[in-house]
Amino acid sequence: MQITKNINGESAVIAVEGWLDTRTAPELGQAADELPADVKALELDLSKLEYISSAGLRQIVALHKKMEKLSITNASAEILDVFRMTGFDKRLDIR
Amino acid sequence: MKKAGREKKGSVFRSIAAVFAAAIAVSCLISAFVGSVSGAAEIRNNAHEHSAEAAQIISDVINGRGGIETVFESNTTNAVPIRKTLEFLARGYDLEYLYLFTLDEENDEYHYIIAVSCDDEQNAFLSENRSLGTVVPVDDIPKCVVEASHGSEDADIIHDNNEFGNVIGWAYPLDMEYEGRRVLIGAEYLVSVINEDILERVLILVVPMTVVLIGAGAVMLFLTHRKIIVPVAEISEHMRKFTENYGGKKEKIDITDNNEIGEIASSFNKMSDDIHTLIADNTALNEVKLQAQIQLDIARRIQSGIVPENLSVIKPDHSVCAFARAARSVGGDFYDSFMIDDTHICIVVGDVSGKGITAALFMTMTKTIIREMLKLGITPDEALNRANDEMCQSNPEGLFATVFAAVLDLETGVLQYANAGHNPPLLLKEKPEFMKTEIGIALGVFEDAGIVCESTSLKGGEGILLYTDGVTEAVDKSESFYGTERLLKACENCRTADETVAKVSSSVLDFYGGSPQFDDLTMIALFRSGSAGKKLELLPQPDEFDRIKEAVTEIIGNTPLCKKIVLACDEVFTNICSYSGAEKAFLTLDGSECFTITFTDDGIPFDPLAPREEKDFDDLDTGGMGIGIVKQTASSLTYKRENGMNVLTLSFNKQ
Repeated sequence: MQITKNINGESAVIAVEGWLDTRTAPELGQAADELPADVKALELDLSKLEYISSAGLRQIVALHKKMEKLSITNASAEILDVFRMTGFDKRLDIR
Repeated sequence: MKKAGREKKGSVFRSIAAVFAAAIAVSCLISAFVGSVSGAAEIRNNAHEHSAEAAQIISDVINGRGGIETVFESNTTNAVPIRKTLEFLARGYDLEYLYLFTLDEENDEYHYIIAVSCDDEQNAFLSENRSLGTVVPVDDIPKCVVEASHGSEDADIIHDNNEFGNVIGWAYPLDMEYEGRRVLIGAEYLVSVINEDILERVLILVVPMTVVLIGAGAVMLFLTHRKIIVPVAEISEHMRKFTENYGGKKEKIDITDNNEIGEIASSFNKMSDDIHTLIADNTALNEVKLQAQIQLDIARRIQSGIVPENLSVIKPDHSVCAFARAARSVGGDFYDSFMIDDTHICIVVGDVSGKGITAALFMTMTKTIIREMLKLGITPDEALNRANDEMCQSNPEGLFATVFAAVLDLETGVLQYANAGHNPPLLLKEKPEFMKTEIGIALGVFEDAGIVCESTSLKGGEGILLYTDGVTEAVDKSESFYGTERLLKACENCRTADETVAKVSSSVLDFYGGSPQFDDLTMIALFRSGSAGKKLELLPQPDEFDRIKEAVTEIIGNTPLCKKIVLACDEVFTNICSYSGAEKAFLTLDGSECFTITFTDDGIPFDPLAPREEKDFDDLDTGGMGIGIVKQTASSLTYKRENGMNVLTLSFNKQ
């Protein structure tokens, strides 16, 4: 998995590439922890995310609790399917 | 409804009758008008003549009696015969007034000499009031009277409407003078009398004519009704019945008149007969067609039993997948796949010359013979040569079949094959390539086909694709061929039979687009499996998931379904690793009907299907979604505790 961060004052974009599963989910958590404290709005760019398991979803819930604002962008149909299975599509700001 | 419709319909007879009645009425009116005009003219002429005659007669009588002065001497009876004569004339001519007078132009006065009437009452009145010497001043003396007093005999008619009634009359000069002025005779008719006269004349003219016209009209109408209207109505009724009941009862019109109507009737009868026959023929033909269609449908169903459209078998050590689509109801392509024994699998593909039922029958025979031969356990070349001998003996139509047959030894990977005039198959190794085979003669043509056996070997993950020319010779809308390059490209990186057939068939079908030149399309792929498909022994560690992923991808191919299965396996295996405390776990994969994956672990008993409380969204970061994902991904899910092990089986439908 590859993570690209882009910080712009109070908002930040994290692009996640590849597979987000049990073994890679902590990397995303760590990347979020390393953001400056004044970042309040986070965008997760999932355009290059190929796979997500429940471990990845757990990490997203954790980010959702931590950030004031969290949005998900550019998720593929396959990824959106997993969001739908778990009802995430109703609770998250998915664009 | 019918009745109302028919009541609304117009009637030719009624129209004709109305025209007739109108014509009679118009001719009556015209003759009445002509009659009245000519009658009026005639009566006027008569009246003129009558007054002239009366003038002549009176002149003669007066002159015969010694002249007017003598006749009208005061207090004599000389005037009595004159009065009698005038009265006689008035009655004879129906004159209301007949009188003699002179005109005093200077004083604008009528000087009456004598006046009579045909009516007794008027007569009495006149002898009192218009006696000899009565002077009547006249304000507006008619021009005709003035003209007559100057001797004109053609003075025009005068019309008066006064105390003496509505009259018309004439003034006519007599050839004598009285008291020095020209004597005039006045003759007047009552207009009502004249009108009665005219009416009488008109009636005499019109009534008989009307009677004659009505009589003639009635006869014509009667004949029209009987000779035209009734037969036409009968024909129309028969036509209506005929159109309501095509092909049912025959309609025959019983009119034999030797005229136009009779011709129409006989033409209708012939047409009715012809259409009846045509419909009967057509119905029979349709039934035959329907029967043929039913037979063809049955044939298609039988053929789809012999050559199913789809076949997919996934075993631990191999996978087979096939696709067949006939261009028509039934086709001449076929494929076959069966186990010869526990370690030998056979695949065959063939293409029979010709199309339709003939080809389908020959195909069935070919397929059966080849299968029987191969099942004997002989090499594919021998099987095809023997099949050829059989087919040559029972092939009156001279049909032939190109066939490729291959037998794979699942233990050694040795692939033996024989080619009877068929397209070269694709060998699917690191890179797909066409096999270079000795091509024998197609089956069914010559007794000695001389088909030879060749062999190669397949490692795990390698396979072979057999196909018919419907693949490479597929034609798109611009009439170019699918060809070998596209086929090679479609097969790139395919590692299972399912994946290969799915990619090639969709590539060919996409290429066809809506092109009408669709040929029979048949392909079958056989792959030898690697380690995947067999039982995997796993350590309950997250890193072991890579092995599961590889095994699933290898057996299923890189398809969207594969990712779903991987996700479900991920969730199940993560649970085993995280919570079960298991020391070992096993996984088996099978894919003959649907993909079935079984996880076995020696951890604490855990039934993922047991109902559990739903978590709030914000608590999901502690887990609890995995089982939900598995339940929604798998087509079916079963759990059992067996010999101290958790056994969880997931099934996935192939579609």
